[in-house]
Amino acid sequence: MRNRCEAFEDAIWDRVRFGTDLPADARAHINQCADCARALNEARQLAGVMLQGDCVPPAPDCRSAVMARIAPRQRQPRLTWAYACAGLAIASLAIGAIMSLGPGHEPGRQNVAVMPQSAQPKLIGPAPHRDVHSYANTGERYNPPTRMVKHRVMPKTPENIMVASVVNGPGDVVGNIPVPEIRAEIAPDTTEEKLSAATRPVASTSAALADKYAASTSAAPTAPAPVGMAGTALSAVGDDTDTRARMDDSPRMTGSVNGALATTPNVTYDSTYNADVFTFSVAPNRDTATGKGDVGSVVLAEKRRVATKPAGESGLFWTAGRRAPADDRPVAIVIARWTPPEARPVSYGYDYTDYDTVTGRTTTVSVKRSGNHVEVRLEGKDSPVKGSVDHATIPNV
Amino acid sequence: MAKSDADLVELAQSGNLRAFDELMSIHQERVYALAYRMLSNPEDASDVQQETFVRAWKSIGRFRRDAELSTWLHRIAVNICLSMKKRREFTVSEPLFEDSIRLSHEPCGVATLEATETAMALRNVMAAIPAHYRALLVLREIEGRRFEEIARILGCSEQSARTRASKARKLLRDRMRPYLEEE
Repeated sequence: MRNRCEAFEDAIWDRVRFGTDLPADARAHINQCADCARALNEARQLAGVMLQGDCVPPAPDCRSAVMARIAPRQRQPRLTWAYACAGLAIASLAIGAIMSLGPGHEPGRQNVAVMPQSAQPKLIGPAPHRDVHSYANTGERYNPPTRMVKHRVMPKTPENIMVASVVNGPGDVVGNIPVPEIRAEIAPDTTEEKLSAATRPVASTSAALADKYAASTSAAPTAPAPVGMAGTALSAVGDDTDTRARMDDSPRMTGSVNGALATTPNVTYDSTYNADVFTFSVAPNRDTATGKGDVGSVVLAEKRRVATKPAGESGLFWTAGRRAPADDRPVAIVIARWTPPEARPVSYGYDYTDYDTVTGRTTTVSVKRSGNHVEVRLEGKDSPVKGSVDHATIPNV
Repeated sequence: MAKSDADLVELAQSGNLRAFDELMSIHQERVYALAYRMLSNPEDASDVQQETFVRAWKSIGRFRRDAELSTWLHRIAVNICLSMKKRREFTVSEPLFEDSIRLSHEPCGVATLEATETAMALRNVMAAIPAHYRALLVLREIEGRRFEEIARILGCSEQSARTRASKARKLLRDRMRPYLEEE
């Protein structure tokens, strides 16, 4: 009987939805079957409510926004000239400085320290511009321009630096404290493949040390408004270098962080970059004074397809607004290695410009670290987002 | 003379952005409507609308012209909606009741109906049922599509679409029963 009722279900819904006539056998069945008569009544009411309540607001015209994301950007000649003039000026100054330090300069004059070449900012220039239409019918793939500014100002840290997962505030004990591996330095002209390989996870872990780590915000984030389309940036801080990998090449986020930060602990999400999947677990960090805050600590829990062992690095998570991180949402992740109490305090700072190849917008990410206090500022088109995390060690609880 | 979808697709596949722009103007409203019905949030629907066309542009070279472009676009949109819904399972969403109230203030002409208990209950129930069932209800019972087309959008067999629709209706009826009148 039940199967027979199910056989008429489509007919019932078609009747109430499209006004089609009920077949004779269905009509006869419904007249005799209380369940089907009830189903017809309920379907009629539901269809009515669904259709009357189907109120779609006027669709926005998304063409310009989509075009901005898919069309090539025109380089501005004036900007190019500005770069050229700035380059000439810097070159002139550098030549002047070298000449003044040369053999012929006055004896007794104090020498000026010259920043080593490796510490100087380097630029990956945008790819030579070609109109996207010129790629039509050529079989060539359009590669949007990329740019990364690199400042290497972090001093060398002890080799036995400990790496620990960070949890928000006092509470959980983090058992796995991985020993860091030496990361290969990433040159400014690094290809994406090399970049991916160099950001492989920390390989080994040690459960012997069970320090308790806590992180808390020391400054309430300012208005968490969008800061422009920064895409996603992953910043990993290594032993004597810092590495950054842009993750805005259509990152596919699963899981959601923002919005859950306030009340839900241990949110996880995945982000794909090249062939690797980064799994982050995020602890909420809400400013108790204002009740606001989108700053949370992040643990890079896993990076699949490269190794199965957990990376166990810790860091900060920044994003703007209440939206989940997804494609084109401004997100910066800074992975910091916290030092054990006996280690020499680490201080450094760097900033980089994240250039979104899709939207053409830039966001500046500034990172300042003094000991176990890290500040991050995201500044883009709109309001900046700023926050900081302090890292404290409580031995064996 | 206006070009057909097929002509515009052919041009877009050769990298013609103007043709793609025209395709967007033709299809963007329906894509938005589908996303809005799936997500009940204008901002999210707008995001899905944009993302759908960005992804469509990226993969338009792989689009086979024997299929309907609208079906293909709606398939992309549904997939984005489903992944978005999946993400939301992690989040603490706004109370649906508030959402209903907020939406009821929108100038859509059915504010009175929105305010009724049944309409609000339906919104809440629709938001709470699994996304793949919701997709079936939206595509079939609200947008009135044929199962053949629904199957192509969802990437399943027609029989599977019918079975899922049956389960979705049953779920809807069961959860809405307290709000429905008996004859």
